[in-house]
Amino acid sequence: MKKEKEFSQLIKDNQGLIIKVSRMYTNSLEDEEDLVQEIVMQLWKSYDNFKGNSKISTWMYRIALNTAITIFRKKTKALDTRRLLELDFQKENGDNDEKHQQVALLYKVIKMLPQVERAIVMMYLDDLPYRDIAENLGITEVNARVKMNRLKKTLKELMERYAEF
Amino acid sequence: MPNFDIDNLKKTWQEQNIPPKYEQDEILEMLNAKSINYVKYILWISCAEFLLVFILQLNDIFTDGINENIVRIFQRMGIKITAEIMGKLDIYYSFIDVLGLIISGIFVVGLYFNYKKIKVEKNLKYLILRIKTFRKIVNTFIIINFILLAINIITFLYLTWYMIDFQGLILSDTMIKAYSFGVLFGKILSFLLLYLYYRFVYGKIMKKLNNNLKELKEIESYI
Repeated sequence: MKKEKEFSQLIKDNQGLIIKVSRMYTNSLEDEEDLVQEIVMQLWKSYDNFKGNSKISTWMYRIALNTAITIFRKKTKALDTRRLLELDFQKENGDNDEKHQQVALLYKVIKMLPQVERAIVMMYLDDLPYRDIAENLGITEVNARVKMNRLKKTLKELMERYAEF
Repeated sequence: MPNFDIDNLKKTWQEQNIPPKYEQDEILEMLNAKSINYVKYILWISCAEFLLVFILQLNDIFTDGINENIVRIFQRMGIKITAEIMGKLDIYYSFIDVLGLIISGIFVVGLYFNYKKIKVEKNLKYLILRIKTFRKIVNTFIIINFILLAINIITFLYLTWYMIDFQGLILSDTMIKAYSFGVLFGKILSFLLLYLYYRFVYGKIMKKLNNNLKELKEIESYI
């Protein structure tokens, strides 16, 4: 029970990362909540094997992305507009209007990318070193760096195209 | 126009407001919830497939169903079946059934050990390749069963034509056409059904895995 409490506290403290990944790979609130649950279960299953050799965020990112990209089974098919509405709501009600718009736009354009590219961008935005990004995906550090440099250009173009002025 | 440089947006991204959604007791509840993932899905479907094949093989071993059917078809064609031929048929079909069971056993063990190797804490590429290997084992099992079925059909066809020739029977064109059509139609239909079944059950997950693997390989091809 002590281990379970320790784990649930860890998840509670780091739930932002899990929610971000879940939002990035689903289009409805129902799927998002299911994915959060599946990620938490997978993290729990591999908790014993986490020896603290890597940073907690790197370990969490790896399990969360692996779950989202490979093993998660979505229930819903159609695009749920609730997510967009929710972001719009934040945008209209937040005191940092410009920042909300930028975050909403970031989600929008990153979601347009293929699944592995989305993972690279998310880890990069959260400041994971290229070594960890490469290790999580099973590619070389050089490849991760080259890909991210190309993605920066793609994202800039997409943001310019989809930004509302 | 705002500056959309991704490096400048890092801070905004990291500071995005994600209000805490889950309390500790809710997280504890999640640990006992039912998992919905493709690996489990493939495992259960595969177990059901193995079980079905196993039951069919056991049924063949403990009943004379195949031989009775064969005898009935032969009788309709006017072919006489002697006790010696029946004995040989029995030995042949028992051999095929036992072989099928041994193959099933080997695959069940292989499937279990490969399931154990699927670890979500390994890197993405490893995980995708492991799931694909897992799926390939089930595919190979089904293909081998189809090969056994094809061997059965070919043997049956050979036996039929041999008996017709040996007993000097002359069949009508209609009989030959009906017989050939029946065998051909049955075979095409069974392959078609199997193909549709796999498309339906595994199509989505295999497409997803293949796309992601292709993406990773493309990234690796840069240098």
